[in-house]
Amino acid sequence: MTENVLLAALLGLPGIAVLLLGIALWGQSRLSEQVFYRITSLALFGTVVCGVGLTILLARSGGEQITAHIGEWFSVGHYEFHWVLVADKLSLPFALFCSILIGLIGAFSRRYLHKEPGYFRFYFLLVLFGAGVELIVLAGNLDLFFIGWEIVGLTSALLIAFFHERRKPVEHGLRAFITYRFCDIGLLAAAVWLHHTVGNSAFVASEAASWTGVPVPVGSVNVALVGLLLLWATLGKSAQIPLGGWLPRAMEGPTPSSAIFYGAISVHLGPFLLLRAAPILEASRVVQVAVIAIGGLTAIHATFVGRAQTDIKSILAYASMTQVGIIFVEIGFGLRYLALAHIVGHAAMRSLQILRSPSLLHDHHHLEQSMGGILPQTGGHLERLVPNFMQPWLYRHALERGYFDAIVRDWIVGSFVRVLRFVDALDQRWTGWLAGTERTSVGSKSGGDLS
Amino acid sequence: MLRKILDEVSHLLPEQAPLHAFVHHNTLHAFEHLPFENAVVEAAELLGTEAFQKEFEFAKHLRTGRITDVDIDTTVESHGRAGENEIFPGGLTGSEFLRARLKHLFEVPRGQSLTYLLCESDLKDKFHASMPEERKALLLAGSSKSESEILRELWARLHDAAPSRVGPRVGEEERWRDLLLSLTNVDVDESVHPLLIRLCAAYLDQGIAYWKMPNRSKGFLSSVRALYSQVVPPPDRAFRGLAKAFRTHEEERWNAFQTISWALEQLEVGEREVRAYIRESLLALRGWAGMMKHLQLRPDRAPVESVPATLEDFLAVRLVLDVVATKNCVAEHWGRDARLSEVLSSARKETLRKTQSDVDVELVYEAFVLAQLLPVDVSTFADTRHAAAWIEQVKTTDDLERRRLLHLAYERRHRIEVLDGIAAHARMGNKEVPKPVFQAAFCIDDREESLRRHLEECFPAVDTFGYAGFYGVAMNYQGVRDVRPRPLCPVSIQPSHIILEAPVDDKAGAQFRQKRKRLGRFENSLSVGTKTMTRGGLFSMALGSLALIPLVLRSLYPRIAVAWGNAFEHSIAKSPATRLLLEANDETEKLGGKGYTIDEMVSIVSSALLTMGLAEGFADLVLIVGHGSSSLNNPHEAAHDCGATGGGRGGPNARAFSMMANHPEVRLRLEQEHGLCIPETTWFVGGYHNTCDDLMTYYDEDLVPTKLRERLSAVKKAMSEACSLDAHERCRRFETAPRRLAAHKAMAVAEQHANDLAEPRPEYGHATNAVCIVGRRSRTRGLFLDRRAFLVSYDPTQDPTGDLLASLLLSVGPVGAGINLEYYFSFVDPDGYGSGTKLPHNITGLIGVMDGHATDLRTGLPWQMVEIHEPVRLLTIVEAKREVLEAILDREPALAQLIANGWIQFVAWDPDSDEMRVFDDGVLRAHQSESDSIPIVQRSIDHYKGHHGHLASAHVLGAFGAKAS
Repeated sequence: MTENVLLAALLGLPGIAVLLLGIALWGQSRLSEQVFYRITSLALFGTVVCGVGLTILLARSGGEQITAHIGEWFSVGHYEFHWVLVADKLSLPFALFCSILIGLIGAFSRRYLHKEPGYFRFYFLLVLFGAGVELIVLAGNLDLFFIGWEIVGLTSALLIAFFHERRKPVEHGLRAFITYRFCDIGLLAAAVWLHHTVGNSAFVASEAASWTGVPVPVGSVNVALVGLLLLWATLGKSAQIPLGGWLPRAMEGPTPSSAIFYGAISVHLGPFLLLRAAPILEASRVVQVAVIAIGGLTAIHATFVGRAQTDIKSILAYASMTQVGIIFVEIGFGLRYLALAHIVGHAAMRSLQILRSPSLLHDHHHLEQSMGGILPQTGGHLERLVPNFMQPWLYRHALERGYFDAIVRDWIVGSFVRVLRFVDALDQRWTGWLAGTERTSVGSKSGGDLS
Repeated sequence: MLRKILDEVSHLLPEQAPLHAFVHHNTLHAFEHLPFENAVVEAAELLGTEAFQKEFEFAKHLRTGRITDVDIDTTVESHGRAGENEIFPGGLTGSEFLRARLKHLFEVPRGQSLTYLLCESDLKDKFHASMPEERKALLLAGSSKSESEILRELWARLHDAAPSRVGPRVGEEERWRDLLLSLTNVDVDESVHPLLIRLCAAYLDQGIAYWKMPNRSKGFLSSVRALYSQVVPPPDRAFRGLAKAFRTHEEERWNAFQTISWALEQLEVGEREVRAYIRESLLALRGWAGMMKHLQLRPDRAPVESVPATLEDFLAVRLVLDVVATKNCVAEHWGRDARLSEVLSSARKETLRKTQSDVDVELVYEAFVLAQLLPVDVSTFADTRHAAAWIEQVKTTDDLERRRLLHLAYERRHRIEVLDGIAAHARMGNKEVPKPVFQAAFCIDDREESLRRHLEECFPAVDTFGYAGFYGVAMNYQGVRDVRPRPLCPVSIQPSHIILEAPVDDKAGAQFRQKRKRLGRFENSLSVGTKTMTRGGLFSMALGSLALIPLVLRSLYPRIAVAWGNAFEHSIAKSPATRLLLEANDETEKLGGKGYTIDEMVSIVSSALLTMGLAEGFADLVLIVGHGSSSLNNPHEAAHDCGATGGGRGGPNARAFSMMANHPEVRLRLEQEHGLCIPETTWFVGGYHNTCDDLMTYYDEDLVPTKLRERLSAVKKAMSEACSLDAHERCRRFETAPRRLAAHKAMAVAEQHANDLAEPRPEYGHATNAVCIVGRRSRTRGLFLDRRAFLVSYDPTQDPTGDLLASLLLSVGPVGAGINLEYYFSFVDPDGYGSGTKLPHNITGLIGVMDGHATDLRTGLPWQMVEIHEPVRLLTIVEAKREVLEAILDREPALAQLIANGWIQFVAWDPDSDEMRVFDDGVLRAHQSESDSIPIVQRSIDHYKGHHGHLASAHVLGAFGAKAS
């Protein structure tokens, strides 16, 4: 019983904070910065305490997992939506670690965002993010997981667009949001396919991993399909190729949110999903190879691109992407505990680096003084290893971030838009002919395309 | 021809140096030949910025009494452009209208929101919300009609009389991009800028990127050409044909100007439009263009390695990209064969056909509301001529004109209060001050005003002086930890001396360096390694979790984090004792320095002491204090350093000056040549004040004569007490500091602000600067100036010809104005002139900040630095005879331009009486006092305690060692 209460509190505390802050914002109440901060820190501190308590209880009982059935949300026909939370060897450390990091960022931001007009919005989104993460981590089935996944995506996009009075942050936020939504199709389809083949999407204990995981459908095609759909779902949040272009753009939000989302937690949610899907990976060689391929290619791509970047936040973004790629590879090879350690270490280190990035000039000066001279030249071995004629080509490739932006914009999305425009122009001409009014304008877009 | 045009228009670009060498300067330096009021308006039009504070801000000042009705009335009288004629017979006169208009500020909804209000609200049925009841009653009583009928009739009459709006101008845009944007909704800059920014950043990078751009030594244009003329072109549709163009240029061996001419030809820019086209092309990415230009002129300012940057290369690359992207955009919409000029002419025809003249409804609305608010007989608008005259009057009093006058009124209130405060302080009479036990010289910086005041309060037996913080020692300085020498002097001087700091004990020095280097190597391998693939993976798995420790400390206990960090570093290597190699001799030169000759030292010491007015009555100890600031989370750290040392830290200057003044040979020559007798018993001690954490450092204490040691420790104690009070006074401005902060806890708060990764406001720097007083300290001692005044010591009684004053003003005037105007502009337009909020700032290339991953370089000051500033021009009060000042203005054109064009407010303060004269339109007019009361307090703390905002002057008895009776 205590376990269930604690488990529910892990999710409930940030949830209550979301409600309180949301009501305060909605009612345009004039609460002080202090109150917003207090509510946030209390909720997150409470989460940490519950997490610790639950860990002790789980360790003492010697059990594998604690499951809390909170209830049923709705049911339609054969479908039932269950609120089930699971604390096991994967989710509990992850939940605890995330709430500690979010709590620290909350404390950090109290001074960082002080007097900023968006202070209140920031804290609301931060606790909403916290609730979303806890939901993802503790979800006992893929349907619930999906809700958390959506919340995280939404808060991420809204925080990228935090400075919404300027145009660019909003564009970048929208881009991230579209990428997320595109990848959510994968997650949703996987859930649907699981319901279709297994009957439900509840995580079940498996022999493959020492924690509960996505149920394995019957038939290798079904397994591969679900696995690949889940992999698709991770591409957006974890900024894997070819969809990682939004990540450097996301750095236009406030520094603390960049640190917690793109250095620490949000980018690692992809690997978390793959860890949950361990049984599927174990059951399908195809999925393993795909995960390794995506991760490996991303790591190589990102490390090259990162080396040509000239601003500190882009460098850190690509460094993050590189490590997440490697984590994918580790998971692909079944090195799950290594991956877990890698996630924790990388998240702590990278978020600290992002928080420290505005002090770069100070640090660089300090480092030069310590070294007693200008810093040693880097990139030497690249120049030795890569043949001369290839160097400018490779450098340009890295500087242009692998041209992914141009390819996606001009050739994939662009072709789609051009087809639509063509059809639109045909349509206009057709209706014009029917109505007896020929179009005369050459200045407009659709007319121009046909001429 | 092109070079000349480029030179001329390049003045409009921001002049900001790389961030490590940030020096405040007038943002509108290029406009200084114009009067201030015209310059800001012209610049606003050219650069798309704001000239003054926005009207809603002025409305707030009116509400809070920051601007009074008297200010408005006086300003309209002296600076209003409206005549005394009635607008229409029986109506208000022009200046009556103006006065009333400035007191009735309201928002005029624009465009769609006005349309919405007109259709959907009771705008034409209900009187305006801010209309007084009497006026409503009057209007209703004077007519038999209802409220709604009156208003609807009024609206109709004004609407009928209103002129039509000027239609949108198509084809007059300066760049093709603007026309294409309005015609096709495609922004060519959206394709060009990301690439151009990436290229500029890669080219100018000073060591952030792991892998540098190849071929940088050949110049920007050549290295870009080499990169982009390769066989596999980039896949962007906007850049089809780019590689071919670059290849052709390469084969033709075109230089930048030939490339620019080709591009202008391709863009079909007519000869008369070339100038505007180039100007707009540069301004479209002004931060990067400005940085290219800056590094072209001052390659020595590059923080690590200079690259051959030129503005013409930048423009050439930009225009080639523009040509290719523009042509592709046109081809996409009008077909491959379409020519730019055809597009333009058909667009013109199209708009001419579409444009119809419509009434300027916004103007009608403004006239409509004003007719309700101002005392005018609305029935008189039945006459269309009257209605038209009313509208015309409303139109001439446009937004800019109103803000100009409101700005003058805003400055007037500040000026009156400061001058009245000084006058009232003077009336309190000069009090007896104890004979000084020591003397202390500080930088003229406004942040040292409070330190000097508190020092005088804690230790009344002191005389303080203000002198430009480099103390005349213009040098390149390389400290024992520094990697390369850096200039420590005003930016206008190119120093020829190189002063080295050397360890006393060579062996200890070498050991120190070695130990530090070991630590440095480890830090560097972490910093590089964590960002790579393999090492990054190993590091993050093995050591990553350890980052939680600093993460927890930095977030929750920032002070402990710093203390532990410092203790760790100290435990590895202790700084060795050092000396400056000051004198020109073989030993200095052997080490690569270039010291001072005795002659040079004599002239530096004598001119500083004479100008300060410290030529006699030396105490046993003279403290010379330089200053600087050190903070985290602050890319603009150097902006908080000493402006007089060119954005450096002035400690070494103070140290060098003290060594010079202690030099026996220098003293001998001073007495022989200048009659300046420094007694043998007097000793100069150099010091350094960190304005961010308020800690003091003293130099060469071991050289202080034994019998003065005890005296020195008393002095240090007084200084540290003053520093702690200074920190306390500073903290009242921080909203994060406790409201009732105890004085002894202030140092801790200041220290935390300086060393906190999460603190965007380590210190407020020069924010709030508003006044500069050049004169004897005895006349301002005991006057609370709220850290808002530059204090320059000058003794007019020792300078009958005004020669000292002229050179003093020539150095202080532009520096003070530069600081003050940079704050002015960054405050009135934080996005156009300033660099916006610092929260998304992203350091690029070690030279500047961008807003995200690819934006223009942001120049100017971030909002967090200026948010508490009051944008007034520097009120410069000079204690000198009127005739002396007028003669100086006559013979120094640089000063005359600054003052006559109104870039500073100038006041002459008579040395023998309380008379003050304000420079206005070429004449020094006597200041009329409005109030003669001044609060009298025992200590400064009694005056500021519990207050958060700006404070008026006060008379502080404690500064004279007197007790309140």
